[in-house]
Amino acid sequence: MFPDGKILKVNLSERKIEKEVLPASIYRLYPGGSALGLYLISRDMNPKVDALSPENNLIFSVSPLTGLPISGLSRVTVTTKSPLTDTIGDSQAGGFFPVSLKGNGWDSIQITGKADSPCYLFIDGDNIEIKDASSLWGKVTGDTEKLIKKSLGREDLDICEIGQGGENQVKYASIMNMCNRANGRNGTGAVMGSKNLKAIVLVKTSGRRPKNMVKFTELTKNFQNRLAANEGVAGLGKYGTSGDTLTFSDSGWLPTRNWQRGNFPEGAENIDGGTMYDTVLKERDTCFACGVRCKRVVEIEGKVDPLYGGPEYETVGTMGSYCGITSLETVCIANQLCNMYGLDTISCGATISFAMECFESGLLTLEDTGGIDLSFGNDKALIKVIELIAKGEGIGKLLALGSARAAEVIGGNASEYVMAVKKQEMPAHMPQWKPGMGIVYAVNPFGADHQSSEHDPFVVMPEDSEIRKRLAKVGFNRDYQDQFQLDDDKVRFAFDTQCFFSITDTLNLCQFVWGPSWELYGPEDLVELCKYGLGWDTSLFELMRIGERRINMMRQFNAVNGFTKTDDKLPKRLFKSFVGGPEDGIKLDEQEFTRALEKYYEIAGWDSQSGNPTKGTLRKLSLEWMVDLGEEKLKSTEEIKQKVMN
Amino acid sequence: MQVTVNGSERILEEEYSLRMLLSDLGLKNMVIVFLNGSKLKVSEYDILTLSEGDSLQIIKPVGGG
Repeated sequence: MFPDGKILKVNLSERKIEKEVLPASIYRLYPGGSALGLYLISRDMNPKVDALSPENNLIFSVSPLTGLPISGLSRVTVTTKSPLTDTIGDSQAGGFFPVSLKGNGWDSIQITGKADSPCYLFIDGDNIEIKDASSLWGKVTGDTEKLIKKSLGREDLDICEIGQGGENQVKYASIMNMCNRANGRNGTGAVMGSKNLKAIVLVKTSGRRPKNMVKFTELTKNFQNRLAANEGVAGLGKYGTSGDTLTFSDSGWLPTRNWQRGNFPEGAENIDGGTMYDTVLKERDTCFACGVRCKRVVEIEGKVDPLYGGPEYETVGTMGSYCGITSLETVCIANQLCNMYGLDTISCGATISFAMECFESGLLTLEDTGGIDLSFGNDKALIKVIELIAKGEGIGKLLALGSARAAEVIGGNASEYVMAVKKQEMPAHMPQWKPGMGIVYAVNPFGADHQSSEHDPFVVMPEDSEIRKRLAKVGFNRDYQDQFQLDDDKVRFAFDTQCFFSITDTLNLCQFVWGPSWELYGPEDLVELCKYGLGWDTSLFELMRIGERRINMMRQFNAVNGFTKTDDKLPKRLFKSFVGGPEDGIKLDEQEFTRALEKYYEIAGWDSQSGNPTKGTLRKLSLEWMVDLGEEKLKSTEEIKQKVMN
Repeated sequence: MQVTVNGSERILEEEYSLRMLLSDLGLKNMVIVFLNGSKLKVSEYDILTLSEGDSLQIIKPVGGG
């Protein structure tokens, strides 16, 4: 039986707290996480509002599954209009905060308005208070959590907070929880800062009991055997996500010096997860009920505090190879600073690497940088600039805008050095090697994202492999000899796995544990999880529809803001061949890519001229209430609500 | 005997199985193996013995994170 949803609505301008019960008949269409956030923001907010205005909604959502005692089930989605991309904003984080949000009885917190002075939200079940945070404003995330616990006289709290990055509305500011789990992408922290909201504090709760404990246990029993048999996930646990950095570099697919190369021989081994394991790794941390324990915790005496966790692959890439940094210590310090100040490590590192290329080409001078030598490989410069970005000082003020807006200010040919899609900097996976993923980088509604579809190498697995058997369940059953082709089947693979990943972002599942191919649990397990965990007798068909619905909601939100297929562009650099090294000759073929994009729009059921969802596709997905969203500029939320309920 | 693995020569004992080679490389079944240009099935990983002059391409697919 699918439950009703419980929404906590907080208006910070009026200091008003309300509660909404979302009937199960509606909640089941948007069952948590990203989809629930999208439903609420599309229903209740004019999509054209300014991202940093009080009207923007900031929504934290979990799912009906959150808190069940199984690996990979503690994640929270933040939905808002992104100040970085001006599209819909979407970001997930793990830890224990999500479980406590659900445990306090809430599926979603929908925050509107702007407090007249810094505040934080305190939640203890139905007891909700807006408390003064003036003494916390200006504090780093670690001090924020300590001071809140001290002032409330209790340690049993789960807290998410912003640092100076969010307070100063850096376009890619993040929201942190535990000081080392990040709702990193899309600048959600800047939105929180624009509302004068410093933190959300939850009284810690425990998890939940499954609906059918006996059957549920079938999924969790022999967990260690399941983990040991899955070398991909087991490897994540030991060496973390950066355990393949050296392999990537040797293969030519590690973005280096702002994507000028794919090979970083002078530094890849130093910053690899294996080196981290042998040197600075203090311990492996985990999220609620998760046996994978993939989180890094590093310590460098006097320099890096274990409180701030440790760098993942993306940070190793963006603060390491992107910037030509060969020192693991520097990468760890950079990671710590981003977690202290609340900055997305991907956009921050990528923006600095953009600036480094501008500096080396003469577009930025020492006068512009305030005397900082922003050459690639300058460790001190990297650390200094992160501080300046967080504080909005010196060159940091410009770079806080992100690389795309900074390029507009710098002028000249700076835009050629921007490695972003829809103004969001690209993660450290190269579309030249993974063209199907590249399609999703281009079309993804909130900018380039590497966790929105399955990656190309898995299509080459033998057909009798467990990976291919799982992929067949989501519609892919074609044998490839290599990962480079971008034919119809590959585009379908990109779209269908995008729908599956969209399910995991809706149900708030960890994508290392739950996925369509190499992950610990596959599609058939997900159906059982819903049935025995929640009593929700669903099917893969219903779930894939939910995933597709979410993608279309995002795309329609963007359409109202004037986005079309002309915004689905990859940087020109990706279409030029590398010369030399293991990446010699590798590039994306521009004509083939353009053809593949057109096929994607057809497969997705989107208009060939605009690249946006057709009315037919929206109706197919029960989104008829969004059909006229673009034409209802000032439609009252009551009228839209009526449309939805009918 | 001599075989080539990902472009590099490797000396192995006679009667060396593919499974033993994969184990040397720290790999199990989440791996793609081309033997003399033909992609192998996973079911062949446990039954194949390598021969002099064999050329192998061994690829470990990696996703996102």
